[in-house]
Amino acid sequence: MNIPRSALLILCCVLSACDRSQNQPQNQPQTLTLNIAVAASVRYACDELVLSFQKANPGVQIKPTYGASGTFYAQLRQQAPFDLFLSADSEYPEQMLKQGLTDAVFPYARGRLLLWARRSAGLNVANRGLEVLTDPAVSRIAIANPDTAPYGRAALEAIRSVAGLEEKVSGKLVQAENVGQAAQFTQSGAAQVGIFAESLIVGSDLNETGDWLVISDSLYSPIRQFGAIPSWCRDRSSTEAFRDFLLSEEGQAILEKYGFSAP
Amino acid sequence: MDPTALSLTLKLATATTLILVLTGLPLAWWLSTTQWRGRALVEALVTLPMILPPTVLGFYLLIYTGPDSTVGGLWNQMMGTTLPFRFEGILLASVLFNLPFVLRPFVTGFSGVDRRLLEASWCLGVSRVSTFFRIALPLAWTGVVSGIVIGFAHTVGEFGVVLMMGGNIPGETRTLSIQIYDDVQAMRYDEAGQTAGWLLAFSFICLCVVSSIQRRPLST
Repeated sequence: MNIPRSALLILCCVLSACDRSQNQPQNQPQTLTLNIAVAASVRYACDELVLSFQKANPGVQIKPTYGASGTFYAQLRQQAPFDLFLSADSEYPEQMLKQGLTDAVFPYARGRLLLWARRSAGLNVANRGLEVLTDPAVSRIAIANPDTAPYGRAALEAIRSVAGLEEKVSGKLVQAENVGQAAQFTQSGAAQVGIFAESLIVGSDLNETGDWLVISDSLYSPIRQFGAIPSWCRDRSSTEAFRDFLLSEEGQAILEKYGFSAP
Repeated sequence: MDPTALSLTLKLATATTLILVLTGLPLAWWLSTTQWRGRALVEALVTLPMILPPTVLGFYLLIYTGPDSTVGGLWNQMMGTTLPFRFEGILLASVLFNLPFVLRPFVTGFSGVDRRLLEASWCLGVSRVSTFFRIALPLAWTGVVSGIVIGFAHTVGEFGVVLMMGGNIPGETRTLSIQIYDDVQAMRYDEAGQTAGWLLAFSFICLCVVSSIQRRPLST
């Protein structure tokens, strides 16, 4: 009868000790933390932007969350605690402006759409372009969800720009939650071809393992990426400092390295 | 394995388990002893999260705890923050979602206690509370410990409801299972594989603990 009770006692002690040790770091706010919501297309570029920014501003810690712009927009409407939102389009930030959720909206980059396949698949994407989608060897085409991801919308637009293509490939389309997942689906071989952001191939091994083509920007509406600072931002001046860094020559050079062009 | 996600996950699982032990023990005791007819209804209600899709619970939580809702508004007045996409929000979601996983083993444990022993204790003048702690709880210990271990392990492995209610904010709502999802999207397979391996081992050990204590004969 003593065993169960002492076991419970020990468990309670362990649990309470765990809880106490977890609370300690929260009591020492030495650095300021900014949570930023970033479109998945900017993932690798943003990792480098944050590193460079923090080198110059060691007092500010920036924690990015990557995902679909539409998902973030829905969360921000519920006042999700993000201090900055970098969208993959202009629509979501402008909607926020209309709803009074932000008063600061700014363009920061322009993105491009890419058609990508594993080199080992031997599809020769670079020369065949969108026509490759009708190849019988292609049974799955990964795009981001057009309802929540601007790159998914652009991908669908590009497919629709070729007459009769949509009917032939609509049964093959696989929708990923965001553009990063679309890239992962293709990279893993689950989908033979993917349409996603050019910016995702620089920071990953998609560059070496793939065979790709930048889709002509006449086939889809320009992907103008805007940012917004929500009105509940916890530290306005640090957030603005990061935004200014993003728009500075140094920030823009980093974005350019990852395949973005000036807004 | 990401240390921030690990400590957040442990914090969430610990807090969830503690809350569920404090609320679950009296609730389970009541469920296993009451003769009330509405018992089945209450039992069905608290078991609901076990079969409910996490998205259903996530949806209702998002709607009914948002800044414009009654609960969300009250919370905002008291604490000055919102519930969704914050630690307090995923803690609430986690407590609701894990309730049946903790409660069911508790109820099973208490149901196995011989009622004659409790009545003997009451007749000898021991109070009801004292009888609970000195007779019922020690006799039901396998069920209680199983509930605690399963509740803790199940919170560590939660995904859907945490993603919906918490988003994916580092240090605030990004638990280990969401970290894996994020790592896979970033094609960081090494990190994802490492975390997944640890979680696999952890879950297996928890289940081994549960089955080994359930085989144990009552130590009386």
